[in-house]
Amino acid sequence: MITLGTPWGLAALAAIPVVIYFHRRAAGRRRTVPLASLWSPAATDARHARVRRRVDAVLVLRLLMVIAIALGLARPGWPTTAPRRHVFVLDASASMQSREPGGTRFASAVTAAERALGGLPAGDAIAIVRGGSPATVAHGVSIDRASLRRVLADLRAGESRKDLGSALATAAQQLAGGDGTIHVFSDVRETEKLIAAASRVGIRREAVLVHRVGAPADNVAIVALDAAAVPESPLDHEVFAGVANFTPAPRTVSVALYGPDGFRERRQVMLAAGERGGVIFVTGASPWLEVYLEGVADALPLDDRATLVLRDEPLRVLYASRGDRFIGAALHAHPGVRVREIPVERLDVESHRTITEDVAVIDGAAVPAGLAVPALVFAVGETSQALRSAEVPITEWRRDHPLLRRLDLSEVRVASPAVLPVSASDALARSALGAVARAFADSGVRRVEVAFAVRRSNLGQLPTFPIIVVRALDWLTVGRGVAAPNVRPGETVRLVWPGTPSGPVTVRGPDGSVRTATVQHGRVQLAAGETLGRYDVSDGQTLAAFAVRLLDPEESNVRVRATPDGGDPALAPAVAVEGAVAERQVRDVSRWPLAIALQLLSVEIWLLQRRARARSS
Amino acid sequence: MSALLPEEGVLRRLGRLRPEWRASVTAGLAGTRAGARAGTSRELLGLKPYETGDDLRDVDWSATARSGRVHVREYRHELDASLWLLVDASASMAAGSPPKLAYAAALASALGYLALTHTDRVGAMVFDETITARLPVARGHGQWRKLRELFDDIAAGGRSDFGRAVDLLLRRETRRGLAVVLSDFYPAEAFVRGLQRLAGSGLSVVALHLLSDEELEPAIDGQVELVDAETGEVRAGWIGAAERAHYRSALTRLAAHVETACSDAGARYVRVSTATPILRCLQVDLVRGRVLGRAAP
Repeated sequence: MITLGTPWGLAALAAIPVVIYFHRRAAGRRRTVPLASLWSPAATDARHARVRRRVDAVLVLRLLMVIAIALGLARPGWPTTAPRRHVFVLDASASMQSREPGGTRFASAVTAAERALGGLPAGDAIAIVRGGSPATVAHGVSIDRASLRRVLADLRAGESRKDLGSALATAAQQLAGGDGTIHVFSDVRETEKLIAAASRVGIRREAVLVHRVGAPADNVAIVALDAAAVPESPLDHEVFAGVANFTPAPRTVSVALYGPDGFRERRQVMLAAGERGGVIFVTGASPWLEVYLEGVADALPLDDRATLVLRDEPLRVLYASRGDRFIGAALHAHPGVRVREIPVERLDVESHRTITEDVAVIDGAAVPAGLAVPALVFAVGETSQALRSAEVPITEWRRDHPLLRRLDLSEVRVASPAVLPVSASDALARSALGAVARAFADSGVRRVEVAFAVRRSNLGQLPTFPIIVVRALDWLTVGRGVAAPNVRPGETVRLVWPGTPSGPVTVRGPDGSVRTATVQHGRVQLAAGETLGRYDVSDGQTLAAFAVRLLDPEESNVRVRATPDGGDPALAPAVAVEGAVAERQVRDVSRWPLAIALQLLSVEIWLLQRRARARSS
Repeated sequence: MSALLPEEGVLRRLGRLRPEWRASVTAGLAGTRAGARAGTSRELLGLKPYETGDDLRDVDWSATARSGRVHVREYRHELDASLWLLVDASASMAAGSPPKLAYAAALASALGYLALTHTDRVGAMVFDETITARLPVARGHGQWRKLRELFDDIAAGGRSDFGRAVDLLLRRETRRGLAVVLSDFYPAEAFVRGLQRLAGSGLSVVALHLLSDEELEPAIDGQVELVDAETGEVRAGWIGAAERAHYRSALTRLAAHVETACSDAGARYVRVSTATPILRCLQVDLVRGRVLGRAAP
């Protein structure tokens, strides 16, 4: 049975009366002549009837042309008899776990897939791709409906963010470059983005059929979680938790903080409809922390909790020392710092090696050329004259700079005229003689320089000095943070392994699953699983951890959902199908009638030319 | 008309061409040739005693004083000849490309120029059912300007009533001369009667039968409704090669009828195709038809 891809193309048939009208008007034309009595037109006889037939043949040709063009515009086709290949892509992202009256969205997707499976011709081959992180082929290309149904029934949604691009790429591989249809069962909001993703992996727009599932739902989610050290109290952390209210009404939610030792603190946050807010906990250092939203009954529970693993490997510091006890004391006072101390005279030798430390502290020596790590440098501008100078106070300092915020340097006295050759605006601190400290970045590597030696001032004796050192280390190693490694599902985890530099390790997930990984050159690299939570990595003696978190507002917002017709999202059907349904199993033959129309045009031109030649002769 | 009418400079080069009167009419009457009897020209022929009816302005007071009897001056009778251009502006004259009327106007203007060059009087009349425009005979360069203005304003329409034009011409104009009729002579009978009357009045008559290529070889084919331009008569039916041949035969018969009538009436007949350039028509067609002659240098 012939089908029409774009039936509105048949509207071109409306041109038929127009063609007949103009044809008749041209054929039965009125001509004004000077003297009509000279003419004796003949009545229709057999000879003229033949002429009439010839003229009518032109009309028939023209009408056939109109019909052919209309048919071509309507894109006719008929079902192909050859079996086709289909790939079912089931979105297994976190939002598909949204709870709905009839079950989860993923359950709706599975139901829709089973229904679509039942509607396909018996000879068609189907593959099933689970659109998780990463996308996996759940069932290879097969015509075994029972097997396919079993796999569909066993599929479960994951807890990862949506990545249908990789799922479409996997589906395209299953098509093996052949003609086929990819059925996407998803709650994807923006179909055009999905189509664009399909185009990027070489899939034609017509080959993608989107089965949209899910109705808008209310949800409150944790969308951010991070921690930072408290400079004044290195053993404490500031934990920031961001919460978003994806409901149409204001919500007050309790945010609870848990550590290895159990409950620690609870705070409430009020959020307007659609608003995002946050709470800050100050808590003691801990290997990991978990944040829960309490008393929230929403559609998506998995984003009501998040885990944060804190960095437990120390900050490695290379200390090129002249034996200054104040600097050494300040460094060793920090519990998260591991110091390797060398005589400053050996710095040139060390710098030619690959320095493995995170940061260097140099006292009384120039920074070696090519030093690739951040550095805190003391006594940069010290000269022999400095030893004989009187003390001068620090008069100005940058109170807005992270190093000196809320610190008082007015009591600092410097027994040195040493100054840094920088402008006043670039100085971090100044005495009456000039700049005595600066913080800057050299080719992307940060550096803090102090012009004078600590022992030639009273700075080391003041309580602010350890704080300045800690803050300098934090500022120099910005981005390292205290929270790491925390990744999203499917991302690659890279751990600096504190134990043996090579060997196997086991990875235990939050769901109790265990897998193995390998330590190479003191590092472990593995792909994070889909399950959210804390993962413990162990070689039997050493223990490390990382966390997998969702923290994705796009995935957690299960309310906003564009409808195909731009209508009220709340009225969107639970399952909607978008895409090239007509092309699904139809062989497009729209070019044929257009080609026929061209041929008819050629015949008409030939007829008219022949007629003109006959008349002129 | 301006596109068809040659430039004045070009027409000036045709100055040796002049309208030619017929022998029977032109004896002693042509142009500036003087007649044998007394007339109204300023060339003095002699004196004679006054008779009743003589113009008092012609009294020669010197001779009267010498002889003691009233004498009047006699002048040479100059035989004036006038060229009348009668242009048919009926609806059928709109046919063709260029339209026959435009061609007729241009040709009439050119003929008028040649006549005025030889100090002939020229007048014009444009007619359809009525006399739509008329220019009294006169001579001089100003007359040619008026002639062009007259033909610039004409438009084809209505039916032909050549008899009315002949009536007016014969009633108003008593001078002898040459009447040139430019028309397609539809309908022929009415024109034939008019031409005979003109020729019978003593005027020298020339009939220029204008035919367009579209009339000679009509491109009409198939089912058509033919509408007469003047009468509105409709003839519907199929036109094929046979019908076109029949039409050409009818047209030939009509032209022959007009030509025969002209010949019988002593008028000259020249068939002119509107596809012929005006200059070629003047130099070739009208010279061959003895409408124009070459004046002695």
